[in-house]
Amino acid sequence: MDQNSDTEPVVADVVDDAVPNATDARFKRNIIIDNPTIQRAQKRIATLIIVVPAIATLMAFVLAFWIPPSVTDLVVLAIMYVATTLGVTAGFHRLFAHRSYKAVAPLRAALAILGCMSAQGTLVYWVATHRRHHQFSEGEGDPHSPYTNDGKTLSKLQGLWHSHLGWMLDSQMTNTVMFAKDLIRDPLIARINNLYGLWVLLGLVIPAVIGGLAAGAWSGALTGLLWGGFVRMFLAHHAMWTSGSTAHIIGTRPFATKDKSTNNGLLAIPNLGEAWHNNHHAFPSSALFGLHWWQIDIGGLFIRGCEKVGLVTDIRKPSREMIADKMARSDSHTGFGVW
Amino acid sequence: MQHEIIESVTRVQAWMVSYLGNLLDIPHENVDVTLAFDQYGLDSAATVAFTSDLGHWLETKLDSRLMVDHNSIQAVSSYVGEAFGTAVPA
Repeated sequence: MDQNSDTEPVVADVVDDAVPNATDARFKRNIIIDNPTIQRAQKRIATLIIVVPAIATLMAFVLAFWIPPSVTDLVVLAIMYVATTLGVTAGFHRLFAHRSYKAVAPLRAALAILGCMSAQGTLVYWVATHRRHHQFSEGEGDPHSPYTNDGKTLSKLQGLWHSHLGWMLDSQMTNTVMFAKDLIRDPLIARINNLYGLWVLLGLVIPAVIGGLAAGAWSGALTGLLWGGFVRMFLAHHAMWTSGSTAHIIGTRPFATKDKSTNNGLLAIPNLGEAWHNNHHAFPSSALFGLHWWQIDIGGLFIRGCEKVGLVTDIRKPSREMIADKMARSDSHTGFGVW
Repeated sequence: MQHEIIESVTRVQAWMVSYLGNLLDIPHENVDVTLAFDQYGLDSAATVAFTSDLGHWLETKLDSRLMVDHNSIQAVSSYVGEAFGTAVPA
């Protein structure tokens, strides 16, 4: 793999450079959409995405005193949690944002749909925002840094809030044409992306139908919807959002990167490997986030499993030498850190 | 005057055709100016970005609903060309 410097552009081949001569000078673009109407619309949608699953989760726990979830509901919750989170980490993040491996079309489609079901924004928007995060990590232009927002330094508490979810409510929209042109161009992906609302809805209907059929009663449909739908969504959201927040605050930093990303082995279990975030910023185009056998990376295991059965090829990962070399140049950064 | 407006409309249309051709990586002569933006697979975020970049070129801020209210290159360029007239860059 051709990455061994800290300045390696993450996705240089797909992100238009802001420098005019990179493309036709007439298409010089802003990285953000500076438009108050659009920002208000985005804020409304983001509020719904954050608040609705949280309230429904609270309702599910209160209701459990009278109608507890069935075993089926909890199994559906677990399966859908893992499937949709794989859609985000193995799909949105490692495949689509970083193009760190190649996958056959049915797997690409499945991961795109599952990621959309997680209700973390459309695929194209998610990818565009994430590429912007890498290009401007911890600097002006980073959509969700715990240290800075729009040129202002954040206090610790402000930073935690902003980087976890506050950014969705007050940051400017990413220009998807600038950051995710490759996906807008891909007819299959564009079609799936544009049906985002349908996938989110299906992610709620499927557990409700299974719960209802298994119980043979409407109350089963309700607990199915609440647990497999909203509680699953709530848990998956917050597990994934830690890669913006705590993964830039709490943990170890074996590699010196230009940002303050960290590794956190405990959070890597629920977010299927995302929490090896310092590794990820050190080697952004690696499909594997766990770089040692003991760094449990379920997303990476999934990708390697798919390679074994022929669904995936060209997995990019750093060699042992590259890892050792980068670590040797980072000796002042070892040890557990908070902020 | 009429002549100037037609020229402005043509310039906006040419800019939009090359922008969309560049975005979708298709030859400019294959860009159908009458086709609705969603037929090209553009979602609302992409049309908003398109609008923002068009505004950047015109050195103004355009209404974010521009490409919803005028749903093709032909419709947008007629509207923008008439509204901006000689202010459209050459």
